[in-house]
Amino acid sequence: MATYQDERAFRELDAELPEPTGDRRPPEKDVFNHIGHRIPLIDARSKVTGQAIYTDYITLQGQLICKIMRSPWAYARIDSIDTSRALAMPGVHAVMVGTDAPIRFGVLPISQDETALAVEKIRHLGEGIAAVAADDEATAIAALAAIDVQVTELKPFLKKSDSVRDLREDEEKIHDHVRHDNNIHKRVKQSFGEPEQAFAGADCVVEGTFDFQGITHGFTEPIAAIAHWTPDERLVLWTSQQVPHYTHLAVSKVMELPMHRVRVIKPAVGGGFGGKSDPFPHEMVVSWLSMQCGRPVKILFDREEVFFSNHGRHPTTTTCKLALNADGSIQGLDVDALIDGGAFGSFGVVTAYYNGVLSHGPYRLPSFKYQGTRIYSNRPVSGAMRGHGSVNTRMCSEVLLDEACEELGLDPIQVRLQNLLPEFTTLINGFRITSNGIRECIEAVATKSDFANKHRKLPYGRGIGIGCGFYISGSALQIHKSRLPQSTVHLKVDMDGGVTIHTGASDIGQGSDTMAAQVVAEVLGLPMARMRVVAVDTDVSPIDLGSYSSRVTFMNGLAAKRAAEALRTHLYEAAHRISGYAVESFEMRDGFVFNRHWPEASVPYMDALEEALAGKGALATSGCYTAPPMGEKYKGAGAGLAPTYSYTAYVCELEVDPETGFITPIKVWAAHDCGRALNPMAVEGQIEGSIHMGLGQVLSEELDYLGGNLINANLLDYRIPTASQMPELDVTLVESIDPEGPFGAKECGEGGLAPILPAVANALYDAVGVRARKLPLTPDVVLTALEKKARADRKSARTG
Amino acid sequence: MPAVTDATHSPSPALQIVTLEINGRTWQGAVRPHELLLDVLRGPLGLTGTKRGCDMGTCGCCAVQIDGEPRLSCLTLAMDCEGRSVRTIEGVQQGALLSSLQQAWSECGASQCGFCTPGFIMVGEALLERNPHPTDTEIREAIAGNLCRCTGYVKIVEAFQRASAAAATEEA
Amino acid sequence: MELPAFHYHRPTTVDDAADLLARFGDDVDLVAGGTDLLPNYKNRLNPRGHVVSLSHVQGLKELSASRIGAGVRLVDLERSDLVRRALPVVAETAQAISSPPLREHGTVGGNVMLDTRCYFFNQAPMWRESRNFCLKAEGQTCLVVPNSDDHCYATYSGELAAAFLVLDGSAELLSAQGPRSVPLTAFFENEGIRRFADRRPGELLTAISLPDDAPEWTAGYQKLRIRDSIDFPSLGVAVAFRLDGDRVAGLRIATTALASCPERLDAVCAPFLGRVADAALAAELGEAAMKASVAYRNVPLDPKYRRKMVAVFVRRLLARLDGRFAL
Repeated sequence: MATYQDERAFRELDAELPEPTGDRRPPEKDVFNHIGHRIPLIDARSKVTGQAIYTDYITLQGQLICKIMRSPWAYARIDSIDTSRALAMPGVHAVMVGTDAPIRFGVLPISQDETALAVEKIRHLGEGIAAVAADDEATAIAALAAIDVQVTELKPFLKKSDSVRDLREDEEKIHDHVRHDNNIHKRVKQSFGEPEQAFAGADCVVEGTFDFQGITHGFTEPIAAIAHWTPDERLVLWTSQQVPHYTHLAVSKVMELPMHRVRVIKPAVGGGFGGKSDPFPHEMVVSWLSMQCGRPVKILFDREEVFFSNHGRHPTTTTCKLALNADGSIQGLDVDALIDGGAFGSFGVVTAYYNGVLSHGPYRLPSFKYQGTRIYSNRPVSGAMRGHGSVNTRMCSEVLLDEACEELGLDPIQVRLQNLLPEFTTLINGFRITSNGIRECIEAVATKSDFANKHRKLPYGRGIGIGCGFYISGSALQIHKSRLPQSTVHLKVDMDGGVTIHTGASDIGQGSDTMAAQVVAEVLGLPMARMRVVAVDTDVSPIDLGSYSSRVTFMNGLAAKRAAEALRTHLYEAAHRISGYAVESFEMRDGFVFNRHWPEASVPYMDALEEALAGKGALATSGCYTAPPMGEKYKGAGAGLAPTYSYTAYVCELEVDPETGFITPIKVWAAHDCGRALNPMAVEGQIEGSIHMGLGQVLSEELDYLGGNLINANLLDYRIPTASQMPELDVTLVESIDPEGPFGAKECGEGGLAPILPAVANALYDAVGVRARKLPLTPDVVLTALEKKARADRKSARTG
Repeated sequence: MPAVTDATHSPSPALQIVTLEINGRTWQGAVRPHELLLDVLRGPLGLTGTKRGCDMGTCGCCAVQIDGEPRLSCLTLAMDCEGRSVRTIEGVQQGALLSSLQQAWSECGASQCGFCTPGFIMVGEALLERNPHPTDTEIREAIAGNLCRCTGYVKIVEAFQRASAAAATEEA
Repeated sequence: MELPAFHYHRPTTVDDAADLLARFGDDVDLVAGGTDLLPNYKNRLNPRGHVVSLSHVQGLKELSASRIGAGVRLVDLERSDLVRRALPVVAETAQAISSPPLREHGTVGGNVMLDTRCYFFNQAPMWRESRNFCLKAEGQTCLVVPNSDDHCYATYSGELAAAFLVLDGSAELLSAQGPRSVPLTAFFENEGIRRFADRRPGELLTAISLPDDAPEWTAGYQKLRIRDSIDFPSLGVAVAFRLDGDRVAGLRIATTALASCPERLDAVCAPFLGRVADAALAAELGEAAMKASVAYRNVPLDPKYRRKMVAVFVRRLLARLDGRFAL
């Protein structure tokens, strides 16, 4: 930022000129009024007072209550559905079955395989078969019980191995569109460099097969939606959604309404984490029922229905091989992931790629081989969940790296440091790497945790371990091929001087509304109090693709910044008209259109605004973001391509009770390269939340199935960690200042999850010498591993 | 297929009158005998700040105070509240003024999605009432029946500490 | 989800409550804290036509070293100076139950009388329907141990009963026929549906009474669960002992969350009486207790693991309570 001295110098120089011209702007400032400040989220007060409007808050005149009848069969052919008794019940207004709205939809254009309710076949326990709209919940429940469904049960596919093999005679594949005679949804094979030679020639090859259970998002707000077919024959849908735009597309398709006759509104969302990032069957159901009844129809899921809806992290069996030379240099990585997608496609094609391609950082891989197989099974659908696709494979590769270091007698920190990707480079698969703060991340956590003095030096039962990670900051490739920008922000300023920010970005609690407000306020030099965000109402908001792939801060932030810069130009021009000074001489500062050469020639914001509005009315500007072309051209090259990537390093110290197998995390040191922390308080919150969620996956959470039945479809038996189980967290934000991100920012919402898993697993080994191969590391699993190790130790003592 | 129906039970019992105090005001209304306090709050009383999360007492989103003690409204029959004093999140702020815990909560970034927040605040207000200066461990134990999926609880604990410190300043 | 409809009764005296129980016979449930009954009702698990609420009943809150009223809340036990001083094992057990808000709800009576739990039982109607229901609700056979001959293997998860058992407590019961006292050792039955060996129709639990010597026993409780809050026990172990010099003069162990009722392992303890209190005794006793325990795969954590922890918990409890058991 130019100092007052600089300004005097400019003024003296400028004194000879009638009007300053030319490019004398000071360098981009790095002292900000809003950016980098710990600013409370703009909806915080509405949330602490209980006044934030979530979907279930909305009650419309004459609304009906919808309940969905859910299948008790994992796999069955529907023979008949008789709804007549339900329809005849007083208080029942409409009953819907699958054939009423049979058009298929899905979040990916290549996986349109879901329907509003089961058509012909039921593919998982808990899938919707029929739905009713009734006066109240009790009537709706009673009506469901009066629906008679006759089915022929089919032999369900409940083991991953059964879905990859060819069908047997008495079997029927889950989806007809699957190409071969099996249930493989998507198979990805990639090879870069010379993996065969790398593995044959390396000094050390470590290998392991890891078993991951399904994980679900566990957002506290149950899924809810309310649809209203209005008298003017438009459909309005309020829905708890991360991707309202995709819902808009899907509802329009399934209801056969042009998009302009569908309006999607996202109220406050009580958590998403990827679990509300698909267009959903229940959205179609309430839409159809409302169109039938001409009245608003609302649905609120019971908690077990949320579990049946799932779309969580895929249960996965991953075999991973890592090759190193004796000097610690990584020679190659080989990953083979068998991924259980459940009954439908969802984001699964992306998952099939991400389980491999997101392993390309933060270390230089001279060679890489990958096979990913995403299968269909008769279980609730898997989908995207925080850290999508990266988490399980990251656990494998980071644990194997620890094992290789152990085998080679090398220090795990040094080996990581020596293999790091540099800034501004290209990877063997074509990824474009720009800003990269991984070195600072590792150094920060290693120093703060005193890793060197603890690793392999703590008493038995106490251990320390490290894990690193790398994640996309928004997907460069669009899901739907389109020439539209990936994110657009509109600004409107009228004579009241408030700035209305119209954004399609879905604030799901991560604070994207606040982010947009901070960015615009910063560019315009105005206080936050002048900002007001109108988000996600498809009638008024420009399109943003949604809150997934950790894209919002980067893409929507840039769109907001560009819209604000366009607005600023109008104010500069107005100030020019008022003062006569060149447009280039102004900047927005502290409520003024500030003349940096002649401060006394600055124009108060409201005066400039009045001039700008004269004769033309409200200022309206637009800014957008489209990812630049990047990457290679081979099939699948776009998967994992991102305009930039985030980097993370965690160290965990923990205690293991060798007699009970209980793991107690003591402290986690976390460092995350988020480019620039636009709001450090919010960024820390993302990292802390990611650690919490990752600790759940590694220590206590799993979707526990008995055949097709999910045993723990509730928040009692699906064990999300409580406050008393959380270790102390020490978060360091590393700011690599991304050259393209808004004010240098990149993602912080997802990349911070994966590294906690291997950090815990590697600390477990440091504490008691057992390697994790199966998650979660519940005490019985750990104790079994300890007993196995004790037996092996005894045996080797005898033979040795 | 066999069906579990509610119809096997006796015909719907008549509405009953319940009188209770809600956020300092007396409320009398007709409720169904099997109705939960949560549903009466969110329905006829229009107090939607209290949230339905797990519906079985494990997430704490529906916490309120009954006679000053934290209770879960999803595990409380409305009829059991006869003559009791119920306080919800809407009764925490004094006019437009937030409580010190609410204020600290918003300043610390302790709400992300915010859905669990009212439940935490109702448990938290009761904790601070009983123990104005809780230790970190006491805070974590007191909120161990409230699930937050967003924050990892770090900023929530900070909010308690800040509110407690603010109270200490006031006392001094 | 809404509860199924029922008729609601709110007596204000214990006698009125007992009369209501007598009146409605098999078609009535009691509700106090609601933490067990209401979630089960939401899942349509054996709902009754009548519910008698104890919310406004006076006279169930007595609290002394020899008598603990059924209406005393768990949080009252945990915070009571008297209980912490005279019956620390009771305070310790209460504090280990569920989570703070649920301990505000939960009562002594509710925890002692807690219904048994099982993966196949505590599920939504549709889920249970998918398995053709289980013996405990609407079905024909136990799904934990098929062909069980009408025996339900659901697991008892109450915890206070373990503490009361090692203090040799009795259930104080009241019915329209009057009061009666049953030693807890004879009160329960190891069957998940019947649950009680000696509870007559229409009887409600009014209190747990403890012998005068209860405060003289050294006693402790340890709970096994994955999270240190919210979770039901996958195992609970209570031990109590008295030493005469360095010899064991009295010894009791009770386990919970293994069988369909809490169990006192008197036969396991008997051979150890009169022996010197030391680490070897603690270890042997733990092994013996483990051998006497059976667990089924119907609550969290592997049954083999839960049994193994019986040995560890017995040993650790003794060592924690008296250093001589660690030597």
